[in-house]
Amino acid sequence: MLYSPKFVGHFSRLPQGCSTPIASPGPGHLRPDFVSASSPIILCIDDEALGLQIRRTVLERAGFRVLTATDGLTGLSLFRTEIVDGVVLDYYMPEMDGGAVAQAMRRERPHVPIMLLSAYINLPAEVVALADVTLLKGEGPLQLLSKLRLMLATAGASASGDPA
Amino acid sequence: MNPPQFHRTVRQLVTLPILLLVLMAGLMAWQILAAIGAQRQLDHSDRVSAQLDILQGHLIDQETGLRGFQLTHDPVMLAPWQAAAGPIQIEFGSLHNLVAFDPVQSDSLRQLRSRYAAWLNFANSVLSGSAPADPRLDRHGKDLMDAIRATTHGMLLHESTLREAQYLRARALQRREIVSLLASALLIGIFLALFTRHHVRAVSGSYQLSIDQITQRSEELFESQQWFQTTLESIGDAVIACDLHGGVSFMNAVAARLTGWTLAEAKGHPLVEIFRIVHETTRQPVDNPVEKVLRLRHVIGLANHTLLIGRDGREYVIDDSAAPIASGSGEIIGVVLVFRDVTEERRMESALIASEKLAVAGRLAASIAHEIHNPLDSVANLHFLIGDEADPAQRAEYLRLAQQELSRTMQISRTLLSLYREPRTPVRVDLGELIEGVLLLLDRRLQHQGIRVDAHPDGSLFVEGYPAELRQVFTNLIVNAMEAAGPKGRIRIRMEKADAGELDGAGAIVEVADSGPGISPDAASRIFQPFFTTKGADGTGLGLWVSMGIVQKHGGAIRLAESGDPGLRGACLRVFLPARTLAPPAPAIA
Repeated sequence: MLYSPKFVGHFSRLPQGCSTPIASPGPGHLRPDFVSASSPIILCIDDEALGLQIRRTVLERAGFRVLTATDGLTGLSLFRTEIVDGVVLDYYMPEMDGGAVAQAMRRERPHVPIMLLSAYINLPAEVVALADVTLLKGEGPLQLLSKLRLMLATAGASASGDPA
Repeated sequence: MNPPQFHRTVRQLVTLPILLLVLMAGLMAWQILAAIGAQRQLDHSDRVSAQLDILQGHLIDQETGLRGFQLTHDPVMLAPWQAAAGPIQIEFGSLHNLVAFDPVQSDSLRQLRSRYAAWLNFANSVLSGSAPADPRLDRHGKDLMDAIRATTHGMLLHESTLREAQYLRARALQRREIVSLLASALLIGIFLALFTRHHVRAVSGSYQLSIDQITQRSEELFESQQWFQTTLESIGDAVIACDLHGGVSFMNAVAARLTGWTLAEAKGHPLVEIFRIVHETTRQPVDNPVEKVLRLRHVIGLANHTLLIGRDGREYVIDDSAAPIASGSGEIIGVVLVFRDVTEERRMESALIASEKLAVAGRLAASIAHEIHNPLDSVANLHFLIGDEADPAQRAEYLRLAQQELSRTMQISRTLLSLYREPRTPVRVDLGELIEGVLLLLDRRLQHQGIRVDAHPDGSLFVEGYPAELRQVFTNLIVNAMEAAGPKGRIRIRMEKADAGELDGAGAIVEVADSGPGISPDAASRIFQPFFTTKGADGTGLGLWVSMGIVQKHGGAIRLAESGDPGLRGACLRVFLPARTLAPPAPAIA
């Protein structure tokens, strides 16, 4: 029998038959319900599918438009094809971790602000340096929203104030 | 002077004087015999002279009788004649015997006899009266008697001359005797004095030499004994020596301090009385090491976890060995015990083990935090959503999800606690489940590094033991394998039942192999030693040492093996755990 982490379904896996508000229509799709065309678009990347969907709901309630991806590569392709105002990025992911994703994004569009949201307590310094904001998972949605707004505001101000 | 020489000399000193004295006695005897011979000859001459005198007396008596008769013709006058006739014949016989060996005197005696016979004829003719009273006849008788007298006188003279010569010879002999005795005594005395002096000097020289040597030897022996004593006393380890019957014959200061007995008190006492040892945890008495050594006839290390109970009841954890003391001929003449107090070392070890346990937890802390923070984040978000949600169905759904995430957190927390919480006695452990739990904790890290894990958990493998400790062992082994395999590496975990073998009972084998660079032969011999690490500053060097300790406590073993898979050329560690543990009920490693 091949052991794979997926086999051990004790935690972290998406519950079966998840109800509508949480269930995603698919990666990358924007849900028009709560958002207006002027709302900022946030790209959320996290391999924790359930957590990702809950976060998406929270962000949408707060008025953001949200794109989601459950792995780094999918996230990067969305980043390339969609116009996003900010990224909320998990660090600890299989295949491609948050550090690698952030690095790739910085190469392509360095001005898009990145929030590193991780449960990992010992983030490597060079990864932290790539992000605009780092936040520990579990600090609560209010903290997430305020930091996200602050990040977007800071990024917008520096972008508009930039003469180039 | 060697012993044979010494004996020869002593023998000579005793026998030679005896021989010489015997020789001298022989010489003296010879001299005395010669003297006796001379004296005898003197006596012989004296007797011859005396006999001649007596004979002459009797002849005169006969002549006197004859004269008287002639004058008186009175037969009474013939009484002396008749009285002397018998003795004269006897005297002649005696004289004949006495002078038989002297031809001169024998001739004289014959002459005397014939002259006497002639005179007797004359006398008989006178007596018979046949002869006329003739004065010439008287004259003839006188002549005959004169001839007899002349012969007797001649014989006396001859004998006297002979005696004189013999006397002189006897005197000479006597002188010679004295001189030779004196001379031989002097010579023997001088010889003996010189000989004895020489030999006694040689013996006494060699005796003095021996005494000197013995004194020197004993001084050296004393010094060497002092040296050994001082050395043994100076040894930091405790030393107790016993005779063949287990009686204490020596102990040094360290042994005296640990046992609480002084050497003077302990000497001759049975070792078991002085050296009371029990098992550290079971407190059962441990085998008498002296008996064991005498039985096995070689060095033995005593059982681990030996506790020495001192006279005052103080207890010391000791590490010890016992060895036979062999004489020069190889015969065992005693047993020596060497032991040391490792109580402090044991405490340090416990501290190290505890710190390693914390280090393992530390290594897992990041994973654990990650595992807890993920669901906590969801719970916090769901809580936020519930607050704003008007639809009861939706709220129920959020609550259900929150509950689910909370359960997940609790499960992780339970897993974390199980790393520390430990039952007091060994329990039945499902090895498959245990390893799965370890993999679960490491899941994120494995995924993050893209390490593939081929695990073959066997649901039917059970061993007896302490689950937290075993979890620590497999965490160590799998983390090591992860670190060795590196990103995109591979780890294979195989589990199998082990049947009872010659050396081990039945149990389970868990094999952890990785695709890393492997362990160098140099490192292979040291990986189970404390503080040995190949990870530089990141490793404590205690992981495998502690793991080995835990597995050994359970009665199992860890060893390096071959994975048998060309894709897994890295380290391959095989852990054997017995189905029935040897670990005592109260774990030494808390």
